Amino acid sequence: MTRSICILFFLIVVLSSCVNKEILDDVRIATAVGFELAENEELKVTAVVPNYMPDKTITNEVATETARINKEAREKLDRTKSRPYVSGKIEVLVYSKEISEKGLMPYIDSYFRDPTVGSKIFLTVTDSDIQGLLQYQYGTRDNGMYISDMIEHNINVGSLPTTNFHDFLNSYYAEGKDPFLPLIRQIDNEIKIIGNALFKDDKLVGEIPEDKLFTFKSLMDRKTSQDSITIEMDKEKYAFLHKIKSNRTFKFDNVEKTKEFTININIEGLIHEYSGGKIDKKMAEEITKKTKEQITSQAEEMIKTFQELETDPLGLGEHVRSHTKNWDSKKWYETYPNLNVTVNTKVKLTETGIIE
Amino acid sequence: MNFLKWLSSKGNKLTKQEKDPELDQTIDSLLDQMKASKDFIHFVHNKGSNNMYCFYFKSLVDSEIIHRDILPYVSDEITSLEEIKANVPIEKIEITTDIKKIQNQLLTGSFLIKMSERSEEVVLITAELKQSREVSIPEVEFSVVGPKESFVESIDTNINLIRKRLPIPELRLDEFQVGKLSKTKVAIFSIEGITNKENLNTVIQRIQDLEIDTINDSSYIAQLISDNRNSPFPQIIDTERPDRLASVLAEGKVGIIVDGAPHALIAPTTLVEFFSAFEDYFLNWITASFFRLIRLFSVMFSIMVTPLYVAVLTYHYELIPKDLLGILVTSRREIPLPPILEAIFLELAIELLREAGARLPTKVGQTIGIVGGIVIGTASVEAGLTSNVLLIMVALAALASFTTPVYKMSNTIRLIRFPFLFMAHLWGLLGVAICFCFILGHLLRLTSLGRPFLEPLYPPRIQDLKDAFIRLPLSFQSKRPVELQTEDTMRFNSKKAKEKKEIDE
Amino acid sequence: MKKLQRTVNEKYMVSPFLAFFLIHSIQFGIGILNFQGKIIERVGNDAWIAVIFGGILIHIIIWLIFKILIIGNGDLITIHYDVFGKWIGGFFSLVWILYFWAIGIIVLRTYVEVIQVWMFQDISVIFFTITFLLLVYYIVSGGFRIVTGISFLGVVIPAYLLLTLIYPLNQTEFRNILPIWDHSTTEILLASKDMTLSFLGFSTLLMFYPYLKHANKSKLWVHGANFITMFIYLGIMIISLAYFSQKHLLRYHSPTLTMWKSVELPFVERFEYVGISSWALIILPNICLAFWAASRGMRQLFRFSQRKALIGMLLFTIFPVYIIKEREHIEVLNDYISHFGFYLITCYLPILLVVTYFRKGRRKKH
Repeated sequence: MTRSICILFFLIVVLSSCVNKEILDDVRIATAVGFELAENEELKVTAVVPNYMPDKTITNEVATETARINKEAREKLDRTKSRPYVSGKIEVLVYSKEISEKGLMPYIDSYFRDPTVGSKIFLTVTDSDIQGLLQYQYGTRDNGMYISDMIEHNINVGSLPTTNFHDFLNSYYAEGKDPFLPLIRQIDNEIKIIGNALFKDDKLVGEIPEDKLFTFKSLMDRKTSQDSITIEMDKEKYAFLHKIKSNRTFKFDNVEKTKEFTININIEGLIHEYSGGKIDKKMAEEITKKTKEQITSQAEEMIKTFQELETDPLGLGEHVRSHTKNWDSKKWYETYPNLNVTVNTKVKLTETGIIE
Repeated sequence: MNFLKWLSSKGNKLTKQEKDPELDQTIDSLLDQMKASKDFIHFVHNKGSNNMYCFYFKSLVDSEIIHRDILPYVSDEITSLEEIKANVPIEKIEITTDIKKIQNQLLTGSFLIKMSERSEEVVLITAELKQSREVSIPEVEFSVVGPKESFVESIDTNINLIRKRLPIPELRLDEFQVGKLSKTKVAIFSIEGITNKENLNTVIQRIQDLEIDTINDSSYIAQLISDNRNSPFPQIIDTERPDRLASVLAEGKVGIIVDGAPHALIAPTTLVEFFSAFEDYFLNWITASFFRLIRLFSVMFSIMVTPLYVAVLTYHYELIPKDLLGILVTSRREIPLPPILEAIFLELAIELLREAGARLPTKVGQTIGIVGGIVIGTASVEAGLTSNVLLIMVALAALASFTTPVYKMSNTIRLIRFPFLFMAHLWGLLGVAICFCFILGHLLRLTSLGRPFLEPLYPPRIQDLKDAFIRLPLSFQSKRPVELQTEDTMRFNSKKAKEKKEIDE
Repeated sequence: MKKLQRTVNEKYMVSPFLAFFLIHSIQFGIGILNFQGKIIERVGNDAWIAVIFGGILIHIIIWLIFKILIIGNGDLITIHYDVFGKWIGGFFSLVWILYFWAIGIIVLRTYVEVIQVWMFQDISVIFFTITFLLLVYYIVSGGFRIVTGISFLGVVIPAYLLLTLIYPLNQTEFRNILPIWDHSTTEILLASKDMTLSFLGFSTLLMFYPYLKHANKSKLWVHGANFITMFIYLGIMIISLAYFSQKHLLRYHSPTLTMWKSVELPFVERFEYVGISSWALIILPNICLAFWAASRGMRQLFRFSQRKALIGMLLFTIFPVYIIKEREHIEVLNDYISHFGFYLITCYLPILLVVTYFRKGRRKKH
């Protein structure tokens, strides 16, 4: 008796309580979404979907729609397509500079809210035309994957500091820290990381150019490895350092009074290439000295810019907060622009290769 | 106490059978009834003065014994049944008037002699025709190393196989007859001083209480004496290896042998025991443990992989790694069926192949397997009915389910995949989890002869883990499993076995 | 009508060390998904201190419960009966039974809510509830040993989830926890009170105590369970403090689940779905034990079949679970029940101890 009731119930459940399905091949899995402003202040949303062809190649399918708000655009896009868009596999969100200058948060909200969106996705800013940027097929895969792989490997072995959606939100909500995002640009048929975009809260305020990325990374990340940098020696000679391990520490004492803040950077690296011929001991010391100079001056210059822009991507404020009882964020932001930041760099180099 | 109860219950049973109306007959009517059968031979043996009336079933009696050992000794001088008993050189001779006994003995191969046509008293001479298969190599539980003998259909041969391995007086054998029509002999093995009395009595009790007409195999008994008959999980292990039976008897379990069945039953058991092949004990403990873990993993894999496929593809596309996404989408693009139907289609196809292979003669079966596996598989992928990723998964799952050493368990594993599949379709991963909880609850409630089935997992008994998921070296196996609550817990002196040799001494 | 059961047949008893799993499994439930918010709102980066204080408070209360049970020698219902008599004792018993029942209901409803938010917005609450309650019935009707079994497996099997805490560590800033003791002591103590709410449920010990073999030996295990629970809470609290900046964390409804988003395995890119599903096995002993305690209480109080009490309670559970629809309502109800539970254990239990001591403990000594 009870058993038959159970079976009956089971059947009812099976028949009546199926939840909304999202079968893998019946949805459009967006991998990248771009946002730029259209005329009359509307939002122009571009979505990239990988189109898996039967011969196992992947083509990059792009659709664009303008609307007042992100999800409205998606809804409009859905109306034109055979299968609905889903956002669970988004890898990259690309924002135009104008939007970034207006403030990103309104355009992030829907992804912040959505439980299906991962926290390890990348946000980027670009000054190129987004539709064009996402339209061109760069690799053998769709652009979402391509851009995300590009950023990921530049974080792992290149000069990009660690960044993702979670880090962005964390810095945005942290009281003594401001977010930054990688800056990309379409140059002819290539897509390229051209620097970092600096934010004050969620508004874009400045940029870090490509050639200072290494210094920025050494300042940002507590520990890095696998970076590389080119050092300009005199007389058009260059040295290339590779596999750099860096280690950064902050030091300060009673910062609100003394306004002194010290950043120590330790760098260990290998000389990978040198265009000036043989490296003797003197030469090696020369390169070390130059490296030190280059990084220190770049870093100090960079921090000056931060102070002028009143943005704190390094999280100096957070660091002070964690060492001060009853820390007051307002007071800190009064102190910050006048802070005297010194950068101490220590460089240790070794020569590599099989030649003497 | 229980033992007394058991004795009295035995008495009850006898009186009950005596009242049986069927047996309320005279010897003449019994013999008349039997004469209706063509193979029932009756003749008058008259040598000299007395006529002797002989009766037997020629199909049950060894005619050589009759001509060599009985008839030559039944000569003129004999005047009474006692003399026959004294003269005939066969030890099992009985003089009786008991109709029931006469019937039983005749039907199990005895030679009956009456001195006169009207006499009630007869002599029964055992002249049983023993026809049984040669002891052959185990086929179901084959092992590369280790003994190569397996049980046969004859209970005496089987008992002999066990006695040879355990030549001790403590090896106790209780025999019962089960089945109104089949009168099957059921023997229960235990070792006195080791086997827990309660376990033994439970088995005896349950076998005595059986109400059934025929027992054709030990699996009948297994089904009938299980604690929960509605469970898909077997609660009694069957084995065709005498070495396995002997070894578990030494552990303190109870063994059941049924006449006419080449499989012995072992109880009580636990879930993990179903995944231990007896070969595990022949191999080095490290390799044995590794293979045991592989087997456990393959069981989990076999149950879970298709439901997970259905759950993930139906609801949780987010979960799929980005590099795998392309492969999955391309393989599914052309498929008209939703993942659940696709999975059921393939699962059923595999079940069909298996079933067809099992029902057909070996050689044809192999062909069917190959034809089905390769031709149907490839064709259904090419036709776009199933995705090739799923085909690989289902084939692997089927393969994995065959690693289970006990056949009945591997059937169960193939069956419980289906509720998981349906739940996965219903609520995705959540459904799989809920279904898993149901199975866990069920396993927790199961018992084998009243002993917990999930032991040593629950109740957690660390000591018994020595021979569960991994098999520790034999020197660690000095204690009998706690599960069995044996009377003597020590198997051997562990200190002596573990004694370490001093360097260079 | 049955009799008040004072002793339990040894066949149905469980080993004392299983008390560890019983206590741990009921303490460690749905609360872990979102306990951080409330505490961090009050004391920010000092939240982890509150976790320790909360745990210590619970240790004291467990000590108290053992005192009551040893003096009273029985379960809560028999102690009430002996100490307060049939009517007043019965009233208090009923309050406790309703409390245990409410725990079962609210845990189930909160879990359904998590599923609705994170996995299936449109899941049919009623069918899911019925399925889950069927599961609960199947397990609880197997008796206390089975409930203990599911508690044991509900701790051991999902233990692998702790390993996933390694993944967020890659993105942590442990300086977030500094400076230590940045808030006033009162604030921290208030937060500790909030924290104890996450430990609730262990008072079912009052009901299953007679089921423990050599119950005295179980003391250490019960305290151990509470310590481990506290330890895990502490670990998760510290990691979430380091993983999120505070305001960021406060934006999330269930930060623990959000942390799972950072778990990226080669074969599972997004772990939270696996986690939420596995959570069913963590929730199950929680609900089973609550319903067991409630139905056992009914059996002892009204002295009719526990099975019937259980069926009745399960049927009546469908209704509230179905009726509560808004997230706010769930939170408010959660709040009420946990505060009610808090006052039950911190105010009522000491009184019960004193009364029990005077009515029973002293008599024993003479």
